[in-house]
Amino acid sequence: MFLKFTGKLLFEKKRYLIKTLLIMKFIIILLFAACLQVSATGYSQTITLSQNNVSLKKVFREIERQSGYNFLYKDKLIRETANVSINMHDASVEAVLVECFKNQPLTYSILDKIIVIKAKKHIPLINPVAILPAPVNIFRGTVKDEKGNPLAGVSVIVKGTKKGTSTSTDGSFSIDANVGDVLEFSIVGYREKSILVGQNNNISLVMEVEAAVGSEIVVVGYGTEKKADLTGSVASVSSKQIENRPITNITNALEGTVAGVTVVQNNGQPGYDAGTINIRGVGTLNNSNPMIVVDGNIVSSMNDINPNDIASVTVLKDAASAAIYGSRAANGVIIITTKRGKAGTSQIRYSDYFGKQQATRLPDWAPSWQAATLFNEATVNEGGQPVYTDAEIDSFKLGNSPYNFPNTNWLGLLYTGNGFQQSHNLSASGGNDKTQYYLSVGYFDQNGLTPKTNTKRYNVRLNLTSKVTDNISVFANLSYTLQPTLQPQSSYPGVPAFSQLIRQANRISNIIPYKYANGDYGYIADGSPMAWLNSPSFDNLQQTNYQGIVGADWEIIKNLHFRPQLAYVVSQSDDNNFIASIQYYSPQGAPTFLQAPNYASETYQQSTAFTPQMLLDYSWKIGRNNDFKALAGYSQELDNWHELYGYRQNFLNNALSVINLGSPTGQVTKGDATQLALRSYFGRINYNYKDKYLLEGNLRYDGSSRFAATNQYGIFPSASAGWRISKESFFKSLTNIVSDLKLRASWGKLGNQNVAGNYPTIPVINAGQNYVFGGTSPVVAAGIAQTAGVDPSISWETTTESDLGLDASFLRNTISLTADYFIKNTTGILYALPVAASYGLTAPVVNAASVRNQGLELTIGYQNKIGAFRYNIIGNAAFIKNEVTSLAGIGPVIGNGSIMAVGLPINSYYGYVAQGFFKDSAQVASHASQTGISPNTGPGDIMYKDISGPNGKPDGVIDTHDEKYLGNNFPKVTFGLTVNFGWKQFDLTAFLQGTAGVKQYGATPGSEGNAAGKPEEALWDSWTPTNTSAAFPRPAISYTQNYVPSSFWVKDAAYIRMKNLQLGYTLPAKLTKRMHMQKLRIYYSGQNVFTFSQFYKWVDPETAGNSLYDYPQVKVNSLGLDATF
Amino acid sequence: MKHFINYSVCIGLLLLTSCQKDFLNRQPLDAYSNSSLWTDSSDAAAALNGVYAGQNSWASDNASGWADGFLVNYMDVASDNAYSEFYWEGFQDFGNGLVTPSDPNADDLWSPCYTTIAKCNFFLGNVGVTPMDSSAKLQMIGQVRFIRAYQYFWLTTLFGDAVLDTTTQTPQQANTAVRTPKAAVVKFELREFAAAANYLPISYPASQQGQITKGAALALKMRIELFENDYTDCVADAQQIMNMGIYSLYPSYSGLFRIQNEGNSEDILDVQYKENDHPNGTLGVMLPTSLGGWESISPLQSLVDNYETITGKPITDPTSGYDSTQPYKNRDPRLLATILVPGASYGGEIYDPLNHSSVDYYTNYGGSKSLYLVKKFTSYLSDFDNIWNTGLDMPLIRYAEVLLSYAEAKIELGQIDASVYNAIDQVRVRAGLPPTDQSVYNSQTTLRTLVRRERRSEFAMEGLRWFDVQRWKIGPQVMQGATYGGKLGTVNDTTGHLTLTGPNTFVENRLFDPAKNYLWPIPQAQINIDRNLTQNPGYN
Repeated sequence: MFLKFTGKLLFEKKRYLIKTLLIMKFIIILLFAACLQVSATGYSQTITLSQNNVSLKKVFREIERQSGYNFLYKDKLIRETANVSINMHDASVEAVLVECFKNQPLTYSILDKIIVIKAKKHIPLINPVAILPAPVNIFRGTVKDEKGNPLAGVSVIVKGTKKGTSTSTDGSFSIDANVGDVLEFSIVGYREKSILVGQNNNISLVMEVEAAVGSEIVVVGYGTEKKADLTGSVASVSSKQIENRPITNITNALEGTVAGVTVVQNNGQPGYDAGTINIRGVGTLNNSNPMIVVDGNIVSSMNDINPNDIASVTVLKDAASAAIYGSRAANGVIIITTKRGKAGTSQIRYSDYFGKQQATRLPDWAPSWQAATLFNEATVNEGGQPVYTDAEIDSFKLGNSPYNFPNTNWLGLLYTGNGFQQSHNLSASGGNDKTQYYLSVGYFDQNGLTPKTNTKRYNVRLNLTSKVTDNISVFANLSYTLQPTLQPQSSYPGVPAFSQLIRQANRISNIIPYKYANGDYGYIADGSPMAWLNSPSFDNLQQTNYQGIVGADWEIIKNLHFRPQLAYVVSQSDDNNFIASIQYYSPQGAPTFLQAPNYASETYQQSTAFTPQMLLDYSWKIGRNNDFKALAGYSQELDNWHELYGYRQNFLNNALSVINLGSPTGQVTKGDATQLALRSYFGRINYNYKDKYLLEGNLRYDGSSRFAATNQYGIFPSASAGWRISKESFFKSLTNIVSDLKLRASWGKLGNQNVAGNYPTIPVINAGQNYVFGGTSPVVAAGIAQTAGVDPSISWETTTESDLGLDASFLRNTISLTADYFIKNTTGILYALPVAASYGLTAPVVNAASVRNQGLELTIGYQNKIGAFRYNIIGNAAFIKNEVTSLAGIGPVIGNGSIMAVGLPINSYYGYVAQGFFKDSAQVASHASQTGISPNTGPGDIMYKDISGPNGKPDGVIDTHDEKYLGNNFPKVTFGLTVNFGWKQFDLTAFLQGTAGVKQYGATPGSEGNAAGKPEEALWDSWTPTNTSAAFPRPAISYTQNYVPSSFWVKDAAYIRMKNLQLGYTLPAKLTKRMHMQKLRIYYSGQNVFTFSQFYKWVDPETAGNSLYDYPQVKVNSLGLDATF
Repeated sequence: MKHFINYSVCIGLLLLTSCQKDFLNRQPLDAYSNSSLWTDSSDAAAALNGVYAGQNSWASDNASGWADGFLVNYMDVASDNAYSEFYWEGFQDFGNGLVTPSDPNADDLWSPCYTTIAKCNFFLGNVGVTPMDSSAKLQMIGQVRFIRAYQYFWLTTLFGDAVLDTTTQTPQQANTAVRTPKAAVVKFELREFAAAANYLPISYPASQQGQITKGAALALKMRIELFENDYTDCVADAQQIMNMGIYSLYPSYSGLFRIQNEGNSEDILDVQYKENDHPNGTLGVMLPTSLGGWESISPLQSLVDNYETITGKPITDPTSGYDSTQPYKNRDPRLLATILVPGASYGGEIYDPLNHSSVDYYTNYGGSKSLYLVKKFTSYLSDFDNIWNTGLDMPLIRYAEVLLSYAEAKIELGQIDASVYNAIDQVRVRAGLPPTDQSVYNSQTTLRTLVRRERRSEFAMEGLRWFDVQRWKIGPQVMQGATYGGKLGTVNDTTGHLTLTGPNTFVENRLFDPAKNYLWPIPQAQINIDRNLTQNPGYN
């Protein structure tokens, strides 16, 4: 697809694009004209200064005195500035300021009579009047790296113009510019720099490697924090790690990026492919999804956010950092911040990609002749006669009789979708020092591997910040997402789901013809998956999400901020469903069975969340070295949910599907509504002594409507401390080797009230307990009854977590290391502990079980460059152990192949231990009796180990006493590895991700069958008297003895996968300049590029459970571009 | 401007957040509370309906009910009458003796009874305060006591000793409950049925058909007395029902099970269904694949062989006229009314499980390994729009059972008189057989053989056979060893003509340990919770 963008087409497209962008820019200007406040004009008052080697502060005081101007700055900012010497006579304020800020990491702007000092992050707004028009000059210079080597390919742009160049191999450049212009220097892998053009026309600049050093600002709960000052376990993911990957939603983008965060993606179906996230293991038997905070507002899902709008993602992993969110933070917190405009810039950015999906792995069904042969063997094994003659099997093999002896490739028929996906994003951002904006539109369109699977997502976002007065700023983040998702449906009675269609395509035998000679569908008892797919049945889910967050920041007195915020989120989903009736015919064309009736249903759901919040924060200093910060806050949330459902059946035909066209007989309407309210008070205090000793304390007091009034509130405290050893004087001599070293320790308590149902403490009498009376003229007898047990005394589920951490960097930040050890105990887990049947109601939710997760997380980074070759490597790994520590005296709770027991991980695998296959009937007779499993046990069946008996000793009988723990699905290790290479204009990113020490149970190799059920190719290696060293037991049809839960079916599911591979090329600045762009990058990006695993080759190891029902995982190859104007 | 913003923000937020004291007090929007219930007879009637709704998770496809048609269909799989190919449907291992305490299906038969019992106890514990006409109230109480005793009938019959609850339980009580000996629980059942019979009317208006009647209470009481070998009381109750004068056999055996004949004179008690609103969703499991069914239930050859020939003689009798090459011809008409056999015309086609190009081929996955399928409730497919959503009521007890129970009890008492022959012959003649040959069936032994054969043929696939195997203690004879289906051969797909060459298809090997298998295992999941529950012998 990308070919369209090369050659002539590229330029046509580009011209079109630029035109569009110009129009956009114009619209944006109009839009914001009203909001923009005109910057202050200049003042001509003069100042005389004669100061030698004094602090900036002192100079400022002098300027204030002479001019009546006031300075506004944060103390911290100028604490580390160099002293200045200024001798000026009758100079303008501006001239003095230019002198003051020469070689300082600061910039300033003038508003009314206030001079605002800022870190030089933003490009200074130069007062146009203050700068005399200077003649155009050629400025020359060289750019070097930190080691003094010349740096080639650095783009040099005159800010605000289209003028630009790039450095040559000796690092030199020359450019037309005026004094007062700002030159911007950028190259991949280095921090962007900009310098103000002064009189000196020989510029020398050193670029610094972009490194994760302590000055990085990290978003934390209700605020931000310098990374160096963090005392909790916090990890952040930058927008760079998310952008330009063909991922469909933000959940999947996080996979493998942060140690201790596991994302399991279950399939690749458009619109239904969001993975599940766990932070530091599964700590509860309830919903273990982390809490999601978007722009300060707690939301239920982050999948409606356009990944391109995200500025940063922060993961709060330990209790101390998450405790400020108390009530819902027990599973960790993911904080997402969306992009904002930057003052002094204006940027239009367009990016797109076009990709194609393929299945990572598909079942490999045996050809029909093998299926028939195995079916014969199985029939004989079960005491029957062979069904197919040798001649018939030969006919299957020959394949020249497609109707009588077919070999139908059902998956080939099913997965004929084009799998094409594309994404387009256009954003405009910028602003001045008063108002900044970020406006984006996004479009995403994905077709699946099956026809009629599709999802589209339309995103619009406007983030706006404006300073209303000197000490009040307001902001609004408004976003809208529309996501329609389409999938086909099955006409299988009662189970219309698309998964049923996939299941049947993986079940129906290759021996069944796709169509008979007469054109009618071949079918089995359940129907034909292709008849379903090709029918007019559909499921169209339309999801919309409106999110509005407005807020203000009022600095009441210096450093005391009052920050109120209101958020309102409306999520709607409208699910339209139509199931067609299907008539099947015999090969002779006579109607046989009918899958009917056809029907349509519509489910409309709306949930709203209204969340006001108020924060008060203050920072102050005692003496020179004692920095304090304090935060107090209040928030509440009211969630309303309602649903309306309508159903009608017996449409005249399958052509139309609006409910009104169905028969009113048998119609169904349903409606339901629930509410949930939460109210919270919270506070935090930080203490920082000389950036050396760091302390933080949090307290949150949370109330939930889920609990009875007496148990409504829970208190969640936490404390943490950090020690930056590298700041100690005794450490000075080591700083050449260890540039930074910090030890952290934290402890905290978190809560969880997220149980199924919003009213777990209120006994209710339910309606809908209906029966009918009346014989041949039945009428519904509407009834009521109590059906659910409740325990009114329940309260918060509590997670107590301790964390010991270490952050270090070595060799001038070329190597970085973060390590954390944690123990996370969750007690009083809200769980419907099984109650004996004679209770008669469903088990009430009680504070029951306890679970412990403990583990170690490591992140190690290394960056370096050799000549023009730059690279960095970041690896992360987590070792987590999960264990149920209490089940309140109940249990073990044993399911079919699973066990929940104290001392074992949650839902572990459980069953017999396989000891190979029985060689012959003598061995069957001499081994412990397996009659209890099946009286049909014979040679070629799995032999189970006699472990125990009623007396605790092997008893010669294989029964429940011989079942044991067989492993679990929690990986012992999860890891991710990101490698970035840069060479001149090229960049390469490879991201590997995987797990180790993990088991999976239940991925079946299909079954012997000639109608419903078919074998994997792998089953060809099944036991026969002549193939006793086979991979699988003897073929069977209805014998189940080999399929009872046993270690035979528990497999090592470790894998390593190249999750993303990106190869990019940034056009040289010279060329970009000619194209009137700031930057243009084109790239290839692949998702799930390759996978290594010992697991069954027909099942994706990442996919949990039975693959027969699952849409496959997909790999995506895409080409894209990213342009900044 | 600045002050305006400051103040409005503060005031606005304070108003929004701080004033609602009851902010966290949220009540369900979609359900009632017990405190506002029981104000008049309509509340009580709604609660009564809620009891009838029961909660039988036996039937995921059925609407729930205090009793379940699903069991009527499936219970014979747990006997020598039939086989179920799909073990996950929950009955295969009850048939072949492999059921273990950890089999989830054991729990699926134990727990739902208690759900309904809890509803009954809730009703009985609360209805007293309702201001309403006392006779109407007593009538309601009678129905609920019947429904509760009916659950115990199932529990004691399947599991023996049961946890006997007559009041609402707390989780603590439930988790420490002990089993009451079967004899005591049975005594309770009989007392409850007797009491219910006193309160209940003989019949209801047509719109209330399906509610428990006096006849139903007496019939259940009679059934339990027969099962407990209490023949004298059984005869008395049977006679009381016969003398009520409102029950008689419906003239057509196959018509008896049709939807348009629901509530006929033979119907004493059934489970009620209504298409769409409260559907019977299990009939489809019995249909052949070619008609969209699942072929879940396969009758066995031993059941087919139980049917006499049209001459009224068993097929083992050389003078019966039985032709083993055309085994389905000239047989007791109930055979073809109950079982779909190879070559039979059904649903507009010839049922052919013998040709391997047929969708219904017997070795296909989902094919009937015995060649046979059930058609008793679906003989007339045109009665239904959608076989998975029907309104067909399922019989729980019908008058034929009263007649045959009366006969059996009298035979066991040695009181062989004309009334015994009369009762048996009513059933035989309605079926289309000649009356009993009194010259052959003239002793307790021969009559016992006859009445037992008659019961099996008359009630085949109605879920009663296991009870008879259990009480006659014939497990080792009928549920042990290899089981078979019909003979192999070919079907002429136009005429349905059979050419049978044999052998009989092998279905499965069965085990039966009389020291163990007459009772089902107490579910291990329940014992894991309630350590006071004892396991039945042989299952530890």
